[in-house]
Amino acid sequence: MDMAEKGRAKAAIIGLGASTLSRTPVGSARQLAVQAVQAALADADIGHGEVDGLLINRSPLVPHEVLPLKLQEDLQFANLTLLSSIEGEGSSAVQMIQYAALAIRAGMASNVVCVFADDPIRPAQSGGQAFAPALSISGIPGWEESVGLLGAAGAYALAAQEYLWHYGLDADALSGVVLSDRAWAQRNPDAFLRAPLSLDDYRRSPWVVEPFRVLDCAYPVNGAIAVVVTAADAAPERSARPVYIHGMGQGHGGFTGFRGRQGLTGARLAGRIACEMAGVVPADIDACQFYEAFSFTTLLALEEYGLCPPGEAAAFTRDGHTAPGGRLPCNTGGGHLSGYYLQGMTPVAEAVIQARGHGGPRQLDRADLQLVTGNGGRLDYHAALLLSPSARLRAH
Amino acid sequence: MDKDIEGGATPFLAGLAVGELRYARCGACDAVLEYGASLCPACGAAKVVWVRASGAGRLRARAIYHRSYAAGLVPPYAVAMVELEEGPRLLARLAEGAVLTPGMALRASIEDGSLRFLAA
Ligand SMILES: [Zn+2]
Repeated sequence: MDMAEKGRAKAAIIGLGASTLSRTPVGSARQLAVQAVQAALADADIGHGEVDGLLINRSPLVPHEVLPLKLQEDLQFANLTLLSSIEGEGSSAVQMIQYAALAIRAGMASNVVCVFADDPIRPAQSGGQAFAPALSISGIPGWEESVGLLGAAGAYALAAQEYLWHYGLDADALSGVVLSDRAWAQRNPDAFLRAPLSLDDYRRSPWVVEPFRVLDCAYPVNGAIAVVVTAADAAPERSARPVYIHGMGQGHGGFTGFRGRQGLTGARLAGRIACEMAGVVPADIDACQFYEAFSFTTLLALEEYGLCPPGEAAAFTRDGHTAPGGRLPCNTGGGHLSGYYLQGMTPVAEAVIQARGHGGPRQLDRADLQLVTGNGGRLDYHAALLLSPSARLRAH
Repeated sequence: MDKDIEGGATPFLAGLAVGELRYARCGACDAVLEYGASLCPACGAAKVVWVRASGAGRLRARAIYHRSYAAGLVPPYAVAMVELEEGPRLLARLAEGAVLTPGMALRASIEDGSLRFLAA
């Protein structure tokens, strides 16, 4: 059975676990990771000794020591046959699951734990400060600092502004994503921002880096999330509700900003490869869980993944098509903006919850095929998964 | 190793210090290179040659900072993505008070090694 065999699952997620999620310090990233892994193993009902793979994703903004390979010893996993820290920035969580599936298919491991943990909010540091360092996009040493392009928001704001200008849109264009996320969050007891939100409220939100308001930016929390990946064939015996991985893709275009042309980021490539692997087309996708550190990234993702024609994602979201009751539900737990920002694990966790039918008041009627994305750097690094509660997808 | 390659983008900063805006071209096939390139995507050569830019460009985007992330950066201030007429894109500061419109023509101004773009 080769990897490209369409319609048949490549691997399955059989466990999901989270630590405490908090806006105040509740322990180091390393401690939170242990909590999440323990919860994921309990959820998978898998023995500690059965784990033979561990993949780790730390925030790209913190040094290796914050979440080191030594996590293995904290967790007392002996005899691992797979251990690595994945360096795909915001695409790492999706990448971890991809590499776990590949290793399982190759016979290198059977049960792989994938964990992300971060503690950006510390006694002497706000969430905003944690995400403020300059990261080079020019290739000129020190240039970003000298022009004042600090923090993640600036580079994304430039890409967003060019997009808005290119299509003749004003800053309200971003509001549809924000309001859609909030409407979903109101149905999710685990979301952090649940108060009702109107367009007028949105317009009153202060600028951070124009065209982004506070409400356009992800809501940081401290916490960790882990999943357990196993072979598709073994999943039904292990889990009442396995979540099958059908498509996997990556695309890395480097930093381009928005240049008014399609296929400008690697997302298009990641989506095409994932769809080909699964034997589906974008129109088959029931719901999307996007990595959206900023509202704009959802607009771009809708277009780059082939779900909206170029330039139409703003109208699509403002018309409510991604909100509850819409034809393409997106970020159904409230996403990064109203739910919580645990980088790539936010969309992964929500997809697993929906695929299992555990969404409670926000449960989707149809979650047969979900797109889950990761987006790292400054729109540089992309990875995508196509997940389903079915081991076999209906023939397209 | 070729000094230009080893030096990465530092010839750009050296240019500013003498009042010159520079961009990179491939020493083998003359293709225009983006800032940050050490290798030519057209021919594969790793020979970067720095040449003087005209200073003309267009405003492709601007982000307006309303918060200060570092001492000395007083909001609000705009960071621009400028496309030089030769092709490469460069992050830059804009002169204060300029009325910014999409695609507007800009020209580089270098004073005491500090680069700003003004309305052309
Ligand atoms: Zn060349």
